[in-house]
Amino acid sequence: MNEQLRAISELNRVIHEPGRLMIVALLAGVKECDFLFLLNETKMNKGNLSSHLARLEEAGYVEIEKTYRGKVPMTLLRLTRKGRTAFDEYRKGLMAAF
Amino acid sequence: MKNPIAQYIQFVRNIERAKREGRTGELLKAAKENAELQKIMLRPRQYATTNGAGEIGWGTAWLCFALSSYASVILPASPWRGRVGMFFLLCACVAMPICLWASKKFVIQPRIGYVAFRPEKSRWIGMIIGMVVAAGVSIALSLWLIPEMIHAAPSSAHHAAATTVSMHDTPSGSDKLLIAGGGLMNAILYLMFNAVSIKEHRWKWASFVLILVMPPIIGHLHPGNYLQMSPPVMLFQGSVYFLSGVITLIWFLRHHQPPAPEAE
Repeated sequence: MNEQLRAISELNRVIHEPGRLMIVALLAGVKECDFLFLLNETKMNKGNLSSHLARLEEAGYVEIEKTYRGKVPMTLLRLTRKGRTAFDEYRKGLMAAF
Repeated sequence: MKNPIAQYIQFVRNIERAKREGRTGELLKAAKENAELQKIMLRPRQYATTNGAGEIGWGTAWLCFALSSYASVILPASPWRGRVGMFFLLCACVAMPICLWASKKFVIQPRIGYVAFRPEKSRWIGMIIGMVVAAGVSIALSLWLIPEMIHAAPSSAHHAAATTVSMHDTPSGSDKLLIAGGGLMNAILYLMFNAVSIKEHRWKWASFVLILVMPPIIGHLHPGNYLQMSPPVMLFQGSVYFLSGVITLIWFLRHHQPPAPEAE
C-alpha cells in the first residue's frame, strides 16, 4: 500500500486536477481547437477555463494562439510536445498507482 | 494514438499479473479511469456523425444514383439525356464531401466551436486496404455476373466478331442475392454512421430494419434483372438515409444553440 501511495503522490499535480485533466484529455485527442469548443465540452465557465488554461500554459503543456477567423477573434489551443509526453506519463503513472 | 490491439494485449497481461498478485479490483479501477480518459479523448470526433450530415450525404448520393438510372429511362432520347444522367452521377460523387464540409463550416463551427484533428497514419492504411478490397470485390462480382447478365451471340455473317447483347428480364438467384447483400451492407453502414447517436435516437432501429429488409421485398415486387431492380432499391435506401439525416440534423440544431456573441 505504501508503494501505491507513493505512486499516487508522484502523479503530475498540474494534470491530476479534474478540470485540467479533462482539458488535457480533450486536447490530446485533437490537433487544435478553439476556446468555444473547450467551453462547450468541459461545461466550465469562462473564468475557470481561462485560469486552468493559464496554469497549463505556464507549465508549458498548452500553446495558446490569438488569431482571427474573418473579423471574429479566435483563441486557438493545442497541446505542446511536452504536454503530450506529460499526459502519456500521467496515464502510465495512473495505471502503475493502482 | 496507440495501436488498440497492442493496448488490449498489454491490458490482458496486466490482468494476469494482477490476478497472480491478488489485486484485480485495483486494476479494474485504474482501467476504468483510463477508459474514461479515452472516452473524453474520442469525444470531439463524434460530432461529425451525430449531426446527421453523413447520412444526408450518403442518402443524397443514393438518390442521385437512382435519379441517374431513371433519367435514362424516363427522359426522351436526346443528347441531353446522357448529360442529365452524368450530372446526377457527378452530384452523387460530390454529395458526401460537400455535406461533411458544409456541416463542419455551418453547423459544427458556429455551435460547438472549431476543432482540427491530427493526421492519422492508420486512417490512410485503412483507406488503401478498403480501396484494394473494394476493387477486388468489384472485379470478382463482374466476372461472376457477366456470363449471367450478358448473352453474346454472333449477329451477322458480315461481322463475325460482332455480338448482340440482351438482358434477361427475370431475376436470377444471384440478382436477388446481390440486392439483399447491398441492403445488408447499407444497413451495417447505417449502424456505423449512428454508432454513437442510436442510444439517444431509438427510432433509428426502425430505419435500420427498413434498410435491411426492404431491398429484397422491393426486388420481389419489382421483378426484373439486377439493373432493373436497382433504381427503386437505391431510391428507397437513399430516401431513408436522407430523411433520417434530416431528422437528426433538426434535433441537433434544436439541442445545440449557437453561443451568445460575447462567448469568447
